[in-house]
Amino acid sequence: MSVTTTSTTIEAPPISTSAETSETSNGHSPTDSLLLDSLEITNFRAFPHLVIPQLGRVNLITGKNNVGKTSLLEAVCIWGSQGREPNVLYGILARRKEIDYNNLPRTSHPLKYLFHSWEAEENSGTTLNIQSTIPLIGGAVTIVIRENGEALLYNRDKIGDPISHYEPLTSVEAFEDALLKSKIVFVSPNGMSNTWLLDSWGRAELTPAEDTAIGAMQIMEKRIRDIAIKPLRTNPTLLTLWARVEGFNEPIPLESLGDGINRLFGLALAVGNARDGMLLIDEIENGIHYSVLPQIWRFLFQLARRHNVQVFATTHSWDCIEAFQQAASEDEDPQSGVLVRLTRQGEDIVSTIFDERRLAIVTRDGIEVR
Amino acid sequence: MAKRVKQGNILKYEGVLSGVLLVEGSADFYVVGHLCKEYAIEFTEYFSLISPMGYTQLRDSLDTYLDQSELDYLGIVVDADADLSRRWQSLRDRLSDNLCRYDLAQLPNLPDPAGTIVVQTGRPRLGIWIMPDNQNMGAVERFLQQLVPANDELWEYAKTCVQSLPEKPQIPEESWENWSDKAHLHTWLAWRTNNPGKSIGEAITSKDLDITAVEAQAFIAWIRRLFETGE
Repeated sequence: MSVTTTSTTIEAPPISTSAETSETSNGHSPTDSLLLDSLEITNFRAFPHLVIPQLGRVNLITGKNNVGKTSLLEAVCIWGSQGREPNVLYGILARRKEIDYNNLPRTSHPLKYLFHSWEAEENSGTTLNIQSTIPLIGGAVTIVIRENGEALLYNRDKIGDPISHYEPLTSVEAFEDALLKSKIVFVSPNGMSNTWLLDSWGRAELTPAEDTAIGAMQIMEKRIRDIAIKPLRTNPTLLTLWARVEGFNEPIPLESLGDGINRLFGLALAVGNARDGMLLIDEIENGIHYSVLPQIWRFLFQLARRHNVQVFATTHSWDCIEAFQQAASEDEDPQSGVLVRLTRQGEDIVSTIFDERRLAIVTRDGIEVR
Repeated sequence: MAKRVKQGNILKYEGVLSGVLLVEGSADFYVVGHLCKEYAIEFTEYFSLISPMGYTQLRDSLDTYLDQSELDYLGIVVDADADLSRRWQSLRDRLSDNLCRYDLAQLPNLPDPAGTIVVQTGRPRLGIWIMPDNQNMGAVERFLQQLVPANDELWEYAKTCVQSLPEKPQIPEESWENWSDKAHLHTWLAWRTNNPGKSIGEAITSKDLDITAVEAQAFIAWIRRLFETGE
């Protein structure tokens, strides 16, 4: 198959950008301001062609191992950043160890790993396409790898710009920073990097975001009163996060308070950083006891609305689905919560949408949707 | 027998994920469960038996059940009640809507007297049984009437008792037959010599009802065709 730069699919030029849209979204109904109300992905990772016809403000993605739940989050990253930041593309590969930060392959383009069945198609010329079907804000992101190994990016304001082989991506922090430029926060199963947490807390301190983060941790531990950045006792040149906990006379390292509290702290800061953008959470239930999941979802639904953030989370947990449904049913917008299940069907991965009506039946009757 | 779960107002015997048999109410739930047991069908190896309580609730939840992960077989047992063709049409409309996605042409105009089975590529194998027999009005109690042993002395007397009640219930005309079917069956069960006041399920297990009646065999044959033999 031969692909030339003129044969790819590009949508009509957008009328407005996402930033303009969020500025004018006040007064619209909540779903009006969603960045993505649907998504179409072609030739990316596990997906030969995946259509997700409906998305909500808060989306929970389920499906068996290896159907592409994380790949879907990656596709949202690429769409949300419009492929503009090479460090987003390379960071996605580096997370999976598909490339080494400091040692990119020279013979073929490293972005080949983003393509479906790249092994079979290597050097044959191939197109990757991620698009939203909202004509107003949408616009496809298309990446083409040509036979000579060159990769080209097409998005709403770039026509066939080459994507360099050699970008100075050095760390996971560079990935987090690159995403942040597009108002995207990607929370991996292990949470955010320490640097990111320190920076985010630094920005949150002495602002209302501080109360939000502490309030979130209090879902699990009511005695947490405050958080501060201080040097490590053993190595004063290293900064870390400390908590003031009621009943203790000296500060306690935040990390010593357990996975759940640290995850909640990261999530609360993440929502704030994703204002007017997107928050992606891989394996949201990680480190969290099932009994607090309903409160965490309630908190995410409220913050997502307040900060105009669209949330995408993956899970394997039934308790998580039940808690999600409960929080969705309490939310004022009856369309805010959407569960997307991915299923393998032969060579294809297909999506099934469970809106709030169907979710209520799922949890009432205990219907398996994982 | 598998463990029975009660979830809200849902009755459920949890079985494999690949099959679901939805029944309209608790009477159908126990009748199907006990009949399978008497015919030595380990049904939880083929399906979960679930009663979502009432026709409307069952109909409204059909699309969601059809999207259960790994579902290959779906059976539906509902009552004809006063109007078989109206119930059938209601199911056809629902199953061919854009969420359930069965092809209207695959759903016959009238139910198959032997129990309907629909095979459509890309959709779960679908079975529909309309109590009592896919041809007449009535409910599961009308089906069970056929299982009352012939020449039972008290059966006719029970009917006479129900008909000569001094006060009739205040129910719509069209519900009268269903009501009297139920009253008749339960009156008769109340007088069974060994164990008065038997439940419908117990009456099947204890053989007060004749599970070898052709009507029961027809129902079991439909279950087997739907879930077991695949023919």
